[in-house]
Amino acid sequence: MRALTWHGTGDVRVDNVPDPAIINPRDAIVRITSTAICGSDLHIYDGYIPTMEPGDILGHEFMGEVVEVGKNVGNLQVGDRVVVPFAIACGSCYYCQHELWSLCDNSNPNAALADRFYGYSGAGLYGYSHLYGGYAGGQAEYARVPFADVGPLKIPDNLPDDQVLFLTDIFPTGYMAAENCNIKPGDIVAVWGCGPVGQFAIRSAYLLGAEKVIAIDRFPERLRMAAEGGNAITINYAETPDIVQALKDLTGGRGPDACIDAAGMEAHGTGIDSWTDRAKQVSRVQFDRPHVLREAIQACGKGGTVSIAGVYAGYIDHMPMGVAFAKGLTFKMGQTHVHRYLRPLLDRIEHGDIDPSFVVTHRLSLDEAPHAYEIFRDKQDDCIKVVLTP
Amino acid sequence: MSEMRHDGTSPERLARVGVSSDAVTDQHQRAVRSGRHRASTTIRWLPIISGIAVAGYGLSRRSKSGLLLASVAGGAVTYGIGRRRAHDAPDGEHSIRIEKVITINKPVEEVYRAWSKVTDLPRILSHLQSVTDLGQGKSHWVANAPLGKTVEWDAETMVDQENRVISWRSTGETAVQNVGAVRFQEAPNGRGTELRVRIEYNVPFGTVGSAVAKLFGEEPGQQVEDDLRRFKQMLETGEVATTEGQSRAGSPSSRMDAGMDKVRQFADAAASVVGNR
Repeated sequence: MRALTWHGTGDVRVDNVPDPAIINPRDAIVRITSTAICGSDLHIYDGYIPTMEPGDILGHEFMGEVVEVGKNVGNLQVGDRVVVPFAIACGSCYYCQHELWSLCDNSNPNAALADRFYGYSGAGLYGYSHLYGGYAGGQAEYARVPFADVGPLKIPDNLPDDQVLFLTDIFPTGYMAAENCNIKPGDIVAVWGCGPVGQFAIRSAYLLGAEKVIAIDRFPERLRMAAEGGNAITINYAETPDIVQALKDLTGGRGPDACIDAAGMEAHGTGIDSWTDRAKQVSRVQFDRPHVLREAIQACGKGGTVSIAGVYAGYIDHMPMGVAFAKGLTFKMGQTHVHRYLRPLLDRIEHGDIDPSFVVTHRLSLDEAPHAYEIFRDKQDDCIKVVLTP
Repeated sequence: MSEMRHDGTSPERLARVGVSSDAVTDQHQRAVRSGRHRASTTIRWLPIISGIAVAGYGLSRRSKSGLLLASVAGGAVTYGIGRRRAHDAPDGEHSIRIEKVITINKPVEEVYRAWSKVTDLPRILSHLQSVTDLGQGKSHWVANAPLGKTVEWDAETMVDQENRVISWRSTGETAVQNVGAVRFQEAPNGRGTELRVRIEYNVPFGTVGSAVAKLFGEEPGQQVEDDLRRFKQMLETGEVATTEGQSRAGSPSSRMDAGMDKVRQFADAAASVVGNR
């Protein structure tokens, strides 16, 4: 089959690789009909995720048709149309049974490696480095889906791929970011980063009852999407010298009740701190560039919540912990517990509360994936979200 | 999971894993002592020979990882020579104790039952080749050793209290005299079973040999940790998570290359931490 493989920083290729096969009794094989490039794939593309090996297949947002099932997969049949959550979860460990699916104890074959990095291992992820299990990803014609009796959700035929594909990651990720804000009536939520996750966080915050959402970015097309479709008040940080003050002004001096970091470890910024972060990251002294996180902590109102949806990978310094402590902030974060949101968010889509296809700006073939990575990274041609068709 | 420790026997720690400490300590010390005296000349020469071979390979790679490998292997050569001069070192010098604990989301009875079927263990514990039940609490074990070798021993059960503890020791001639105990304890509020394993054994290649073995992914504490994780996965999910045999471009990088990459990345990660402090 053809698959998008990683060969080094900025070097992804479409290679011919062996077709996947059933390895464990709870596996299934899915023929992929749609697959997307995630913002977090760019962290790999840019070389910031450790433990990648040349030849690894990327991609964790994919859906398709079941073509083969292992002998212990009783709930799926060949021909079923499914979306596949990006986190692989066993369904039977303590964490899965408590809806903490992305913290699954059993799905990372390289759990020992993750233990050394992070103290404990979370779930294995598709196409996201050997630290997260080294599973082959879904930017391919076929994928092997472990614990297929737990993860994949069957999709009714009347819903097109574009409407349900993002159940695999970015819709639940944006939704969980908003849910983590514990939104109460009258709450104002600020969202840093108007990429796909930010866009879903904005809409989800309104779905969960936010009074007002303020969106922060610098790319006009992303701010436009946030304002027009998302109904957010937008701030272009490139034109706003003091974001914290701007947010105060927009919230009657109280500050946002919740701040969502939908940017993560490769945040851009204009301050001195963002340039020193960049230097540290390039020299690998620091994995992450935490400019947005610092700003969110500075801006958040008293007793508020900082909700982190963007990925962080390592140790960061100069965090304003005194500020966080003085304001009594709550921090919520982590890989999305996708399984928890699949059914409720599918209901939302079927009910017409949201049509996730709004975020798609580019449709390309799998063969064009290397080009797609490039335009997505460089935000050429107003690229916000790419869907690939194998 | 807890860390591997390299120190000697202490009755308090044995007591903590629920074994009658006097008996185990005595037997362990006898076992380790007799094993050391039986260690063959070949075993003492092995670090020298394998160290030179590995150092040569490391240097031939002409890379950072190769140099790291060469320097560690060089240590093995030095160790081997030193070991030949000082093979009358004090008792217990080369005993290793490993203590690991894992929580399994299953009732104590089920976990105990699974562990009691020793002949089934090699299906779960990748580092075991076979276990043969010889009856009357005796069994024969074959395990994978570093550098593609195997080690064998006979074991006898010392304590077997249902749903509480199983302990054993090796008997007769073997390169790895060992004694161990597994304790089963109910975790709080229905969180399953805390499975605590403690194994002590003498090391055929010594501690530096163990460091070289670590580069090959056969570091002993890691073996036990990996095996416990597999045991937990098998009990909780009915299978062991793996990516072996999955699709990728090109052939999978050799175990050595992957291992060395990881070592390098650990070093990078460590540097990142230090740089931030």
